[in-house]
This record gives sequence, structure tokens and C-alpha cells, in this order.
Amino acid sequence: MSRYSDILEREDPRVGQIFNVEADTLDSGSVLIDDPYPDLNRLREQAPVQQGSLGDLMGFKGYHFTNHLEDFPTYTAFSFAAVSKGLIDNKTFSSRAYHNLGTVTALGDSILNKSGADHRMHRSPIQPMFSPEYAQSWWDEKIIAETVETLIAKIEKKGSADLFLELCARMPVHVVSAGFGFDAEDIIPFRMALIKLNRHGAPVEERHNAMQTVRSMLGRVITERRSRPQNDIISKLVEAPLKQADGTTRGFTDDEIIAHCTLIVLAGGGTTWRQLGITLFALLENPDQLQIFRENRAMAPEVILESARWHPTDIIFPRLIEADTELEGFPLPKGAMLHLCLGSANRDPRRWDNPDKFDITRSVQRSLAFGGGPHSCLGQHVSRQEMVVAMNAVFDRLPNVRWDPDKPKGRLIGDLFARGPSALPVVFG
Amino acid sequence: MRICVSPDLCCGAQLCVEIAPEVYALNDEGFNALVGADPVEVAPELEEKAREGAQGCPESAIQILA
Repeated sequence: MSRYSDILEREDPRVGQIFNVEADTLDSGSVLIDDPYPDLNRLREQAPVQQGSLGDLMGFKGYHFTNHLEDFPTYTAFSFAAVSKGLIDNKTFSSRAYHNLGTVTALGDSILNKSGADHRMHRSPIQPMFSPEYAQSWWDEKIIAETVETLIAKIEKKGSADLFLELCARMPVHVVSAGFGFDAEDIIPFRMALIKLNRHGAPVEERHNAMQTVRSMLGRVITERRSRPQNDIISKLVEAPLKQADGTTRGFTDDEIIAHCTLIVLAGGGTTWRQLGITLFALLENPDQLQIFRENRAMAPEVILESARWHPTDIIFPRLIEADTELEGFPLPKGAMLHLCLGSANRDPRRWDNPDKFDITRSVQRSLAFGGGPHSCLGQHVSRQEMVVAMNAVFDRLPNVRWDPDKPKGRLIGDLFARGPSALPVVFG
Repeated sequence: MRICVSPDLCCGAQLCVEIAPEVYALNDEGFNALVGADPVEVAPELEEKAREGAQGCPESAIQILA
């Protein structure tokens, strides 16, 4: 067994502390909401674009939500057409919103907040490292297969497990961090520092210390890879050519690599965890769909896309309105914030029949679960590959996997920004 | 060499157009103009640009046909 697997297999109480949807939500100063979809459906049917933030429109005025600014003029897009346009027209609805929201201060100047030529210059060199082909070859062979095998081999001996913690949480953080080049021992400490960066309610000093930790841990790996490259993403970032506007080429600076790594490792360890959990939850809760999947095991990719449509982890994304404009006939003023409600768009009955139903047999149409337009999710193919491998491991290796009758079933919880299951207690065999 | 774009995959990222404006264009909705069209022939001197644009696509929506 490799040293990586050996460390991955160890019990680690820190994992339970940092991968907890309820604690995550409450620690960020937010509030738990059971099922936002009845409200989202009602609001979308009222009008495709409305004045007010999503929180205000849903009656949660006064609570903190990530991506929300209290008392800042804000509008919300609900329909598929409006949200899709908001994502694609990144000139009018720009990602400069992340400057207003403090995200740039917290995470650094990254492709999340850049736009236009600057965004393209920084994103293009790394795009090939996250392509569908690369996800299925390099990522799978380097780290996904070994990670899932290690975790499922441990689980299958037990007869029962909390799959949310023992598989969904542990897989992505290890895959993305080890893929980037982190030593196995450093993966959980790095995650703990990353989470603190983005915790808006935390004292400034605590966030500053977390930033120092993130920078020094990444700086050490970058320096090592600059002198001795290895087969990992940080080595590829060190070597990647950056084509500048004047036609010359240069490499990424340390600060630019740190910004890429901070964003991608944070997002990759957080979203895939929740979305894989939502997918397994949806199957366990819908025995008819589970039966179809058991009989058609090649459907894992479609099952994942349907779960991401039906209940994406992140249901709103913010944009800044750069010019007086209109969206689906609704006038929008320059300088206001626009909330793009992906969750509502993904249940638009003008695009999907019976949209509230989790139905793995529907013909796949692109949903907005992974966004769209210039900022469409960079890591989605790696994430989808991770989820496919993990799903296949669960249904190959844990016979007749089902809710644990002696434990409370998992529930989908979270706020208006990020959602996921409370737990996935199962038995098998 | 011919190219075509899968309508199911194009997400309007527009990187193809920014990387290779000589080859690719957008429709009114911001998607690749080849969505829903038959494969088109690429002039030999533009083949390299067409490939670069296809590699820039986050969805691998652009197919290069021999």
C-alpha cells in the first residue's frame, strides 16, 4: 500500500469537524433552510427577473448569506432563459461582483473575479488540465482510482457507514489536493486554513493568519516544483506558458499560482463532496430511480447530471450590472447586483417536464448546475469523473446499499448559497 | 479538415471565439454559431487556429473531423 493510501485510511476526527453542512452554514452566520424549492418555483412563476436579493424575496431579510450584501441594490433572475443570459453575457453582468463581496480580499485575485481578456489569459493555460479527456485519463490514473479504492475497501469491511463523511467528504479533498501536489499529511491542515479564509464572520486576525498559512504551504510546494518538477498540477502551472496581449509569453508568478490553487482546491474539495452526497441521497430516497440505475449501471454520468440539475450544491451566483440594461424585459440599473438563481433555473418547466421530479431517464439537456458562459465551472469534468468512479464503487462493492434503519435518515440542508445532505447513514450486505 | 459543434455541450463560454476569431463566431444568444449547423470545412491555413480554439473549449464541444 502506498504512503498516500496509508494516510488516507487513517481515522481522522478533523474530517468530521470540517465536513459538516450544518456547522458550515451556521458558522458562516447564515441560517438553515429545509427545502427552498417551493419558494423558488413560486417566485419564478411570478416573474423571471425581480427586484430584491434572493434572501429578501424569500423572507430572510437580516440574515447573512454568502454572495449577499445587506442594503445593496440587488435583483434576482429566476427563469432558465434569464439566468443563462446572465451567465453568458459576462460583459454586462460581470464577475467584478466578487470585489464588492470581499471574496477577492479573502481568496486573492483569481479567475473567479477576472473578466474579458485578462480572464482568458489566466484561464486558457490551465483549461487543458481539466478537460473531459484529461479527467478520464490523467486525473483518474494519478489519483481518483486509488483514492476511491482505498476508501471503499475500508468501508466494505464494516457493513454500515456514513457515506457522506467516509466517502463523499474524504474523496474530493484528497483527490484535488494530491492532484495539485500536496503531501498526504498536509491535505487536511491545508483544508482547515482554506475554510477559515472564506469565513466571513471570523475575526480579521484569524482570517489573516489563515491567509499566511495558505500562502506559506503553497509557496513551499511551488518553490520545490520550480527546482524539481513532478507529475502534478502545481508543476504544470509552473511550466504553463501565459500568452500576453502584446504577443509575448511568460510563466505564472508565484502569486498567480497561489490564486489558482486557493480557488480550485477550495472549490474542488467543497462542491464535489456535497454534490456526490446529493446524488446518493436522491437515489436512496427514490427507490424507483435506484432500481433503474441498478439495472442500467452505465448510467452513472446521466444520474450525476440529473442530480446536479435537480439539486445543485450552490444555488445562486452573483454578478455586477455594468450598464443600464434589460433582462427578459425587466429593466436593470448599472451598479446594482444581480443574483443568478441556478437552482430555480434548473426547475424551469419551460425547459423540463415535471422539473421537481428526480428522473434519471430524462434526455439530458444542459442545465446550469455547473454555470455557463466564460466562467463555467473549470473543474466540472474532474468532479464528474470523481463522482462516476465513487458511484460505481458504491454500487459494485456495497451490495443492496440502503438507509440504515436504526439511524435517522439524511436530509438535504444548507442555506441559499450552498446545500448538501446532513448525513448518509447506510447499511449493506 | 471539418469542424462541428455539439448543441448539447456548447455552454456559451466563448473561449473559442476569443482564441480563434478567424474561425469561430457567436450566434445572437452567445453560443457558437455552428450549433445546430452541419459540419463546415476549415481553410488549410486556419486549421491550427481551429484546433487551438477547440482545445480552449471547457466542454470539448467542438469536434474536429478529418
